[in-house]
Amino acid sequence: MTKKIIITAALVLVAVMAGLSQAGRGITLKGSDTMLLLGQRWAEIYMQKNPGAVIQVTGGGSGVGIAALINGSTEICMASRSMRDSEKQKLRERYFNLGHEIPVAKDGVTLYLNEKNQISELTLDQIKDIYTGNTTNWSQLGGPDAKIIVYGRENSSGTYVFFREVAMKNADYTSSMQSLPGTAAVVNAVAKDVYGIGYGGSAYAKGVKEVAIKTAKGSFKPTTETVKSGQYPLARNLFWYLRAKPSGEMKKLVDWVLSPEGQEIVKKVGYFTIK
Amino acid sequence: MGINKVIFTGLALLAAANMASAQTAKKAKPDTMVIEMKKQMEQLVSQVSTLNQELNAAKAQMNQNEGGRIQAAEESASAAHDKLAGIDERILTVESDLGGVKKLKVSGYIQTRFEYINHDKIDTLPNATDKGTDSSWFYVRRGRIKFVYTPGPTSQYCIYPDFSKNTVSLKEAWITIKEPWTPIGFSLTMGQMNWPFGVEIERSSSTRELPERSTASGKLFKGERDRGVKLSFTPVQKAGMLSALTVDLGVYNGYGVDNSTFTWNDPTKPKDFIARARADLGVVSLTASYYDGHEKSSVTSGNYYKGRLGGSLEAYYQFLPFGGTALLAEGVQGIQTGKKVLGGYVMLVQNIGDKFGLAFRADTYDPNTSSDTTLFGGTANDLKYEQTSNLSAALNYWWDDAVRFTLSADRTLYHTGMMIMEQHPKYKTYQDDKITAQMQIKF
Repeated sequence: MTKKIIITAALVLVAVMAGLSQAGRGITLKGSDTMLLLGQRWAEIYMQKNPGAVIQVTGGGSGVGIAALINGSTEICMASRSMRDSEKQKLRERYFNLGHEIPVAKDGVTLYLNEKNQISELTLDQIKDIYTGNTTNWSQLGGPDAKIIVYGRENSSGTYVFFREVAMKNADYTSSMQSLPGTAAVVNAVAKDVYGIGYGGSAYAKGVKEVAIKTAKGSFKPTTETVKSGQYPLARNLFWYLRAKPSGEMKKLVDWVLSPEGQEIVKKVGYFTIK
Repeated sequence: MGINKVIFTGLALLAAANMASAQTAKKAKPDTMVIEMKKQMEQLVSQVSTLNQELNAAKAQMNQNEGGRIQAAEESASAAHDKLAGIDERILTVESDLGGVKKLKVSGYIQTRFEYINHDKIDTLPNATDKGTDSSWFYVRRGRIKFVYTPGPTSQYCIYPDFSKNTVSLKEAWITIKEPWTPIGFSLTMGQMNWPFGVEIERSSSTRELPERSTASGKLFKGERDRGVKLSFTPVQKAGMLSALTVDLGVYNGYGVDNSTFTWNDPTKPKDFIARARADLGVVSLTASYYDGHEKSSVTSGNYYKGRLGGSLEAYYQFLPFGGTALLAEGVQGIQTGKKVLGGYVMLVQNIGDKFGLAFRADTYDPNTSSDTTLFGGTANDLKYEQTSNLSAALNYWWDDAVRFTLSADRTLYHTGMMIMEQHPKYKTYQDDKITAQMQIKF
């Protein structure tokens, strides 16, 4: 009898603690600027459909979102790159698991050029040379005799890290690159700068020219087919990271985001569905 | 523009007047008419001249005004440019300063505690030091601030003082250099640092779930730190199979930072050697450690061999819907001052949501596994050579990102030596109970 009382009391205590942990906080999404538009659209529509739900969405970059996930200031981290081992270890140290990774959409990191720029395709080696500073003039690529103005993201950005790892094969960015705080700022800068080049999520490519990437198999722009087949060399997953497997309200939100309705929003925003 | 119109109007009038005069001349007398016409002409010329002067004056005024405006605009642009250049320069200076500041990482934590200890009623035990008294106190267990400066990717250094109870002490001071040429990532650290043995020794108390380390760590690695040099292989990411493996090889004095006899020096000529290999596979981590060294109790006494072999297991998984679970276990055996020692612990930790965590640990330490009967002779040292076991439980609550509350209970079981047991069978096993309430801030 005493054992039953102790076990019951312990279970009640655990339930109360678990409840207190989640009580009245709503759900916060923080991280990738690439995913900011998408996160906002998901939150708006989900809250319309679920009047009691409270979802707050903020950017800052994937690195900022992962740090917030580790220190407990966000429930969901939006990340346009995978978590590093060192970040997983920090998460494990505090929460005893390596985080729960959910791919929620696909993207093709897009090279933006000004619409007046006559260049329309580049190879990965040419892109690498531009961003490492080995190629500095458009004439070296068959364009006009004009200096290439290189725009990129800040190092807290997941796109910055992904681009460096995949497009630049871990080489260092040129010191002349102008680091801008968001993808929208990169697009805006390139749209105004005839000799500018920038990169970012495919959903942001409005008012600029998308560059096709030339490979041995052909020349590809980021489309549903090329991103899903992997033909587009800068295709990637966009992630949500949670501290633990989702349950309760969080699971409901995750299930909805991965549902056909949630994935339809992915397409409308300009990214590609995960399945 | 208006002046031009006036001039053209004037000329037109002159022409009209000439024509009118010509018509009139046919009727009037020629001399009078000519004189009259000349007068009119002179008046008109005079008027045109006046108008021209006014026009020139107006043009000059306009040029003056426009030039002034252009000059003012140029001056304004120049001032703005200078200001912008000044701001740019200041930003560069701030960025440069900020770059220096970003290289310095300051972290630390403070642990304030209330402890209540209920000693077992062992006042009849010969030579007992704990005579059934209860003790309770508030104190600052740890007050630490760590400065780590990273000038670049190839070097780093650290100063780590501790302000606790009523003393200030140096916990760590080391310099690390890292080679940039290979993906293996060799680094060399020299100074005062943690012993690279096992896992628990290097786990900061700011992150541990229970307020104190296990007994074996406390007895065999008192102070957790020593002076020496360490070579580490910490593979950079994605270096194939090697990326899961970390190896440390170190040479140390061997006495630790809390030794009261040899506070900084080492009387034994051969230095102590430590090797540790750790495979971290994410969900499971395995660590093997080896220690080989010597010690003496005074400068003139003989050397004792000191050897230890340790193994650790860490497993992390989320079994339950409300939080992650961790299982940690470590064991160490070896030789200490000529006696075989054995110790270890098993700990289970369960998170409940993001705010709460429960921890349970059982640990044991036997300072003499082979010769209990020869060790205990009813001397004053009896209590120092007992096998001890601890059962510990803790509830942690994270108030926010920085503050954590811990409430823990420890029951320490002492298994007395053979001689004492024969004399006082009642006290074969006795116990102390401790309750700890701790508030911690980490920054």
